[in-house]
Amino acid sequence: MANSQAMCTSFKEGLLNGLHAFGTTVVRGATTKDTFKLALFLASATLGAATTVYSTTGELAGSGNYTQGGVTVTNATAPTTSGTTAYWTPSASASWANLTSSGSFDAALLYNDTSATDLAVAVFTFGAQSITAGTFTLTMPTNDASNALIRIA
Amino acid sequence: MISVLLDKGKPDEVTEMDETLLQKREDVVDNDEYHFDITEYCLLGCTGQAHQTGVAQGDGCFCELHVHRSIAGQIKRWPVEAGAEAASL
Repeated sequence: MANSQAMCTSFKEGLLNGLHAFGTTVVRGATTKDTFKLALFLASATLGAATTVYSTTGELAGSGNYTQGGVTVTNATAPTTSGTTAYWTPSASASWANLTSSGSFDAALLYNDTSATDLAVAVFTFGAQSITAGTFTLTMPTNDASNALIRIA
Repeated sequence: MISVLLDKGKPDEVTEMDETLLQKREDVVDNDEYHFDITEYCLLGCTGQAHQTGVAQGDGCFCELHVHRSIAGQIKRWPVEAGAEAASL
């Protein structure tokens, strides 16, 4: 059997589980999984690939039943792999009830609330929307190698 | 009964109203990345231009005179994918 060059799939999964550190890292106080949150941002904000940490700049105001910082995503399913792709998806919808948004918003930031600096994970955008005395629900994609929220292919 | 906001200057003050007293509009936004089901209510007799023209008045809001707007979003496939490759030596 010949050898084949590859990025090990187990390594990709390990990245999602924080098992590798090529640079200076942090001392983790526990082996428990981190808490991740989703926060909503105004269409006027400038989140993107260069976003490094969560900040209230550009976030919906803390009014109309919106709490700055966003909502905790349910994380009952550990990262896994299929084929050569490692992936992870929150295990429940994110929802804001009785919400009146302070403006038109078009982005959600997923960030690590456990990290001391609230490290950013990903920015998700959609058509600008506003909510009035209603509910904004984001149902998560299917947790598989093709559709999961976070995929390392 | 449906939750409504009657004073936009007071976003935390929500009250309940009988749906029959409101004008309901539903919309769907569907693309490769997400599916949004939008439900919006206005006061009966709302003469907002949007209801006459069918053209939304504001960004992300059909009628500026609405008192309720909810969205149930189904995320299909958010474009977050990191490629990974081991370099040749």
